[in-house]
Order: sequence, then structure tokens, then C-alpha cells
Amino acid sequence: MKITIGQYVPGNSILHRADPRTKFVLTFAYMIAVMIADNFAAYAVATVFVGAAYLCAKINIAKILRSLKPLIIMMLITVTLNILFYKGETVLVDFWKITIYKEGILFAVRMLLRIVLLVLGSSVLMYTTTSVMLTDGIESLLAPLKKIHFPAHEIAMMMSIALRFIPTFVDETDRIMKAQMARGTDFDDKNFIKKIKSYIPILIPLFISAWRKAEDLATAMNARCYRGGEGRTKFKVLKFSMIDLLLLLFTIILFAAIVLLNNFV
Amino acid sequence: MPLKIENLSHTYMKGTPFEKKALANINFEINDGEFAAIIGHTGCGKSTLIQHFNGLLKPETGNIYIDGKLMNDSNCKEMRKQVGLVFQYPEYQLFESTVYKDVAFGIKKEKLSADEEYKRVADAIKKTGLSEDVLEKSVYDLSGGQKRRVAIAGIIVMNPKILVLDEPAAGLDPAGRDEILSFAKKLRDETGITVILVSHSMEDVAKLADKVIVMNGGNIEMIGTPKEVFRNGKRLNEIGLSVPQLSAVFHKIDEILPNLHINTDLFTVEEATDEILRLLSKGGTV
Repeated sequence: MKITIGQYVPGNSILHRADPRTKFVLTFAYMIAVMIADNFAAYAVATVFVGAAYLCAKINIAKILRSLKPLIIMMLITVTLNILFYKGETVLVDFWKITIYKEGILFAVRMLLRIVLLVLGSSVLMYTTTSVMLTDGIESLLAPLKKIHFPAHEIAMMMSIALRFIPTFVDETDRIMKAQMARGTDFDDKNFIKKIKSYIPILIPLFISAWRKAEDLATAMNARCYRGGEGRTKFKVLKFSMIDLLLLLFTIILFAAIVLLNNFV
Repeated sequence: MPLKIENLSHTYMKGTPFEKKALANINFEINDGEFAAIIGHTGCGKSTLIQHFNGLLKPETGNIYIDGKLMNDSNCKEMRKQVGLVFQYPEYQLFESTVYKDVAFGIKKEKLSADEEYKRVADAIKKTGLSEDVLEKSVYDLSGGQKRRVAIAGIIVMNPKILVLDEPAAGLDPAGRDEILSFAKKLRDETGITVILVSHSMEDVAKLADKVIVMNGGNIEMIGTPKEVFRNGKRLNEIGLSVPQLSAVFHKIDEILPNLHINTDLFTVEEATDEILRLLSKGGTV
């Protein structure tokens, strides 16, 4: 059993080197742009933009397609529902109680494109940014909210601890599963209730170990005089560079292009 | 029950950039009722190897014979009952509310009568050196060494014919480790089951094992009796292992004073004492 989480693909492209804050802003702006785009020309611009990002980050096509796989069912449902229930003018098929309109099909295709573009776009961020950089970026972007006592540092710290411990717990689960299999637990049971029950001997030791690890970590942090974010310096300081300026410029161009296309095509 | 490993190889995460050869062409045999020890540096493939013994890992190539029968996909669950595998720090697998329930977990599928089940559980817990009083206690009220013995009882209760212990003494105090190891020895002597011990302690291995299997980088480096293996102290040092301390001392004495003709094939304090007394009574000159 192997679980892969954290999709970071090592590299040294412009996107890899860019400040995570820029990438957040860029991704966010891109998502809004895709949401407001409502004709095919605008989608084409967004597609070119995403394609360029993937080329630039040198991520292979297999990975891109794999990131879409979990969404196939959702995409199918969206398309079917839209085709079946959209009320348009040009009737294509009229059979029994089902009426399919040309506008319905076009709308379904647009929805599909929108989902695919959203997923692909946000994946670029995950592929090119390590989890540490992500949380650093989030903390930095949320920093202004500290004025209204929003715990930005604490949230970022919790996120990075959670991410850090995922592989540890995957290993631990693997170990405990094997130990219980050695005692005769059978995880291949066909009976659903029995199958769920067979996971109790895994969950309880795992839960206990999580508590113990949490306590150990808290002690270790205390021993290193951790006392929250106030006045804390960073090993890797986020820097806004020329690359970031360039990327922000691209974002503005994308946004402008989509708004223009929406209104004039 | 005898165990035979033939041309066993195993590679982790084959076909990915993280591919790692863990075992390469392993061959050995462990006879019925033998006390075998597997030693090797961290990461040499010991844990990977023992997980093949009861089918938790499937060999990439090679065969595993238990009691002369080839292990395959259809009979590996059956085989798993013959080979009891106790992992490192087994106390972390305990999950039931009482010691009794936890030890009985492994035999729940056999649908024994209540009396029968109690007998098996009590028997197993007594074999590990605990008394029947602990059966109704909560697992979390026990000490570390006791918990570990409860976990081992949870394997023994299934009456395995081969018992594999992965570093059973790790993290225990000296008294605890002596108890666990002497229990393993006693169990072998009394019931005649085959015991395979994975250990880092050369002293323990020298004292207990009939056969020592030395692993290095996924290969078998040496196989033999403790005496045979520990004669190659130089090679053992090269692969990050050592010889028992007494053995090292006696080899050094032999090196400095070859005329003494001191016997270097000894590993326990008792043997060493006898040898020193022998030399003293001879009154030989240095």
C-alpha cells in the first residue's frame, strides 16, 4: 500500500522560483477570470495561458491527465444534467420526455471546459510549490488580518505540521496493518460490516500513536522556546523579484483579454 | 517446522524513480527446531526478508518453502498461521480494552468454546512469563516490557510452528531484555518450535543462536554457527557489525601473546571465566 500526497514536482523553472504569494495571487486571478469567461474565445485564451504555464514548468502530460482522473464522475454528471435540463431555442432531439437543445450542448461543453481549466490551473500551483513555501505564502498573505486578531501564523503552522506528518502516518498505518495481518486480520473480506470492523485494530493504535506524537512534538517545540509567530524570523525569507513582476503583468494581460473578449466577441 | 528460501529477490517501488533493490538472490535453510539469528546493519534488508516468511511481502523472484510446501498466493493465508511474526515494538499494535481480549484477537476466527479459548489465552500469556492476573487488566496499565510480552502472547496464542522475532529486546531495560530472550530460548527448548531472531546485539546472538545469518546490502554475507561467524571479526567490522565484546578482548590477547594459546571461540562470561581459570591453573609463563 502506498499513498502519494503532496504533488510537488521538483524543478527550476520560472514558476518554481517565483514567490509563492505571487503564485497565489496569480492562481486566484486566473480562477476568477475562468469563472467570468463566457465565450469560447475567452476559454481559448485561458487554455493557452494554462498550456504555457505547464510548458514553462516542464510537467509531463501524464501527470496533468492524472490530476483530472478523480473528477471524471463529477464532469460526467455536470455534462449530462446540463444537456438534459437546459432550456434553449433550437431543438435537436425530441424523444419521449427528453428534449435536447443546441444551446444546452454548448452550455455543457462550456461548463466542462470551465471545470477542466480550473483544475489544471490550480494544479500548477501545487506542482511547482513545496508545502513549506505554500504555508509560508499563506501566512504572509494573511498577515494583514493579524490586526483583527486573526491567527494567521498559527493556522500556517498547523497546516505545515499536518502536511509534514502525512508521510509519517502513512508509514505507521502500513506498519500496523502488517502487524495485524500477521495476527490473522483479513482485509479482503467481502462482507461490508466485517470489512469496516477489520479496520478498528488499525485505527485505535494509529490514534494512540498520533496523540503520543502530538505530545512529543509539543514538548520538542517548547524545549526550543517556540512561542508563536511574534518576532519570529524565517530561514527562507520570501522575496519579490523581477520574475514575480513579470508574472503579475501576465496576469493583468490575461484578465484584460478575457474581459475584452467577453464584451466584444 | 523447517523453512527454506530459494533465490529470493525483492525490489521496492519497481519501475519508479524511487526503485530500490532490497534483497538480491537470497538462499538459506533453517531446520526444524533450530534457533536462528539474522544480523546485519540497519537497512540491510532484514525486515524485508522476514516479511516474506509469512507472505506479507510477495517475492519478486524466488521461492519460499515452509515445511517443504511452496508458498503461493492461494495458500499464503494458511501459511501465515504457521509463521508467527512479531514486529519491532509490537506493543504499538495493541488495541483492545483488556489483555485477554487482545491476546484472543488472533484466535477469534477459530470459533473456539469459551473454555477452550480461555485455556489457549492463559497458556500463551504464561509462556511469555506473565501471570494470569494480568488478563483482566487494561493494556495501558502495564509497563513497557509487560505490554511487549502481551503482544508476543497475541502471536503465540495462534500456535505458530515458526516464531520470528524482530528485535524483541529493543528499547527494554537489561532485566526486560534478559526475560524476553530467555523466554524465546525456553519456548524453543520446551515446544521445539523454530525460532528466528533478528537482533543487533552480538552478545545475545552468540549466546542463543544455533545458526547465524549475516546480511549486508541485501545479500547474505555469511551463514554458520556463532563460532564460525565470529571468527571473521575483521569482515564483520567492515560491514558495520562487530563481534561480542569478550570475543574481541580474547582475540586481542591472542594477538599480543600468541604463546598463551588462549581459546578465542567464546562469547559468554561463564566461558571466559573458565578459560581464564584454565590458563591460571596451568600456571603458564607469559
